[in-house]
Amino acid sequence: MNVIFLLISFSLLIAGGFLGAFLWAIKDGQFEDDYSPSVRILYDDKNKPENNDKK
Amino acid sequence: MIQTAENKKVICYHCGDLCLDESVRLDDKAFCCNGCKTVYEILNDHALCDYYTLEDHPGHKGGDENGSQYAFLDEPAIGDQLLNFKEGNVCGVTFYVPSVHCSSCIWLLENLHKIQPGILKSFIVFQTKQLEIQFNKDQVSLAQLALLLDRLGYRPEITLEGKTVNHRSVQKALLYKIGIAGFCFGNIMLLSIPEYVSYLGDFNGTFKVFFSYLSLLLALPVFFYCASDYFISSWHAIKNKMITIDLPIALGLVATFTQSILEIISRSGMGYLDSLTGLIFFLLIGKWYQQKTYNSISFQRDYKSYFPLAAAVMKEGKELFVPLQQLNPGDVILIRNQDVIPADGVLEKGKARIDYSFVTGESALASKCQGDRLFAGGRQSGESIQIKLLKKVSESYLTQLWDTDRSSSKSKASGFTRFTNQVALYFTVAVLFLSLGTYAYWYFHDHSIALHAAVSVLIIFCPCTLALAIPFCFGNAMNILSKNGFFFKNTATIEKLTDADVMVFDKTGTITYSGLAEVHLLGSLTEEDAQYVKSLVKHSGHPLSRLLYQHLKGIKELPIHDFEEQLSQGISAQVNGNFVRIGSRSFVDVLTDQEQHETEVYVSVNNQVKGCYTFKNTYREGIPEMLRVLHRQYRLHLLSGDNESEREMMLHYFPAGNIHFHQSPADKLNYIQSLEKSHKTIMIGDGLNDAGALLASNCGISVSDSSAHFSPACDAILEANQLHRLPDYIAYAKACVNTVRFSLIVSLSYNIIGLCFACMGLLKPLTAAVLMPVSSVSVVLFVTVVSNMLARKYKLKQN
Repeated sequence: MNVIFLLISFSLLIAGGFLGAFLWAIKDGQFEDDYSPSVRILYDDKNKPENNDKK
Repeated sequence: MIQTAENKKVICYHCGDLCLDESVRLDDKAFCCNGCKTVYEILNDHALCDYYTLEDHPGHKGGDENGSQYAFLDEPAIGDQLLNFKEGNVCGVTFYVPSVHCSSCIWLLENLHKIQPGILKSFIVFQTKQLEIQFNKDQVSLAQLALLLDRLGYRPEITLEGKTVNHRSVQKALLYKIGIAGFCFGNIMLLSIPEYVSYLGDFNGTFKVFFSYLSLLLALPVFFYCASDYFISSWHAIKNKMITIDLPIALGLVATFTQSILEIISRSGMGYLDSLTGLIFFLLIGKWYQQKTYNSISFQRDYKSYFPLAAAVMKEGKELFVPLQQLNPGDVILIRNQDVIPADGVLEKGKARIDYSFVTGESALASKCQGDRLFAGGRQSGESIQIKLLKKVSESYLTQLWDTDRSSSKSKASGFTRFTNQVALYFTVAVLFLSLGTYAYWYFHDHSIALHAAVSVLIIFCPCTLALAIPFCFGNAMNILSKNGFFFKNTATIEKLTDADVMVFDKTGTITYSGLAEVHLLGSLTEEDAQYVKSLVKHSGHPLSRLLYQHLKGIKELPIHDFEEQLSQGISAQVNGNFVRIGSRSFVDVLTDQEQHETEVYVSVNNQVKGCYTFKNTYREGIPEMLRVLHRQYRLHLLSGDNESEREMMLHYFPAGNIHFHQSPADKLNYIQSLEKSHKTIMIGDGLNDAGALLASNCGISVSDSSAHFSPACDAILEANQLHRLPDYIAYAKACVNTVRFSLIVSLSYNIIGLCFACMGLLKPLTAAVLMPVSSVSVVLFVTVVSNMLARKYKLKQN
């Protein structure tokens, strides 16, 4: 049964890793703006072809 | 009367507004004004017309500033204050751009580098409407950036305050706390399961010690970090000799934590750490739900956000930009077209035409001559003028008004509602009384469990469900109302809205449109006369001329000669050999004894008076019906800064004794303050002239044509086109307050069940662990469901 000590420590470590990821995401600002990333990805970058035929 | 041909409605390609002037066209596309056309031209030149394909009519009217408005930004002393960082040539700046509203805006503003070389990167934070720009200061200056944004219709709001406000870090801290609390709560719950089911088998020895110490370790950050706000706020409350809802909560948390530590150290049990952390987790979620509002709308604006950052001081013939706070009496400052006068002063040079509409509500421009006194807050239109200051910015008439408000409305500052505070008081008294009573009882009957029972009472009687019901119910209501164009400063405002008995309205801009006036014609003009009028007014920039021009849509224009404009008198010119004059009575030589009540413009052709145009404010949609409904529930008052021309109209809706015209901002403030002595008032106004009254009233609602526009400090902002629904919104808010009252009864019944266990000294961790989430979740579900159902009942938009 003593394996439980080990298992619980491991599970806490893994869960702690996820907590760290969550905190990281907050720090990174992922929860500040939940609108613009969703539309930003849809913009085509037409920059190059249009630069060529610019008068 | 001439009927103007109702053309097919033409919509501006850029901003989607109705085109009142048909002449602004480019590439087969119609625009409502030159500002919009300019934006289109800029975008077209830089191959950025994708802007228009992402959303329909995404634009805002472009500014027609000449650039001088932002010149002060190039003064290093001022500009550097705004920079986030500066490394060599590369600088970073954050602008607050209130008009960002759709995906087209994001796309355009993030492609700024294609328009203006020198911009390295621009990035939008949509929720806060902040635009972060990195630029090379050798290629482009701060003033040029601001001007570019203005030209594109994204006018940056640059104020003294802008730098200090940082909403985001507050929100972030709360998210950290929720994450940590959730993590610890889940793990502690898991570790507690053996204890819950300990009757199934032996749960003792090293496992129990290991599990309980591990739980304690996990509970430490929750108690000391995540719950710290509750301790801090109750400590402040005690210091100020107040009782808030946080106090009994903090009491319960401390009792639970201490009891748990004692049990763990004495190895008698595992304590209530699972309930403790779960409770904190739920409370934080409630807080987040409540705060999850609109950081983009500012409710605390004062005069500083209305004034520019700096003014141009004339020293030895040169202009020098000086920050507003450093202006002194005696300085001579230069005010350009559309600049705001920052402090009271005397006109030194130039012809002033001051628009005081924001300060007084009076819509006509005031003309001033040399030596006249000018007051802060007015906006010059026309040529540049020079003013010699008489007072400091902070001592001017308008700014003084703000400062007196500050002191008088201090009690409004706390975010707690009367209702919550009352309940908190009862709760605290009841908790202390019950727990002492329990201790006393058991002390004489069974000495050993006296302390345990007394602490159990503290644990179970924590008003957490109440603390959850209010944020969830009012938070949900706020959310729903915001979708209907009614934005609240905080949840406490919802309650303030419901307990008023007097309602005070401002007229201009609130129940009437501020700009668009109804034009009536007295007398008769021939088609030809109308053509003369239209040809003349086209050349004048006066607001009344512009209104007339719009009114005479579809009428032909004729060439004119010898055009002359006399300031605030009228205009005259030769058309087809006829001498046409348009203007005031004295200008057109009208002889009449009739008292002038309305704004009127006379027309004469060859010295023969042909007719008179009168201008009336147009009521917003649905206002008479709304006033009739409100009249049944409230005592209505009207305070207007305007003239008495509409007294007759107003008598239909307001009691005669409650209608007051010619009210200065200070009059309004005093009126509200005297009402507040015996009543609770709702003040509904729009401009800076209502600012004092809005602050002084119990609940100040500011009516705004768009939530992004400037609005004075207030408790709630209502979009102008939703004003007629106000009775529904108030009824909904009242129903929500009742829901919270009812949920209090529900949560009390849970508390009483728990109390029975606690008083008997039978509170087991399992009982607490079951009772706590069940009561919290059921109350939260109840208020959310009911507030949604109520929204449907009052026909509010929910999505």
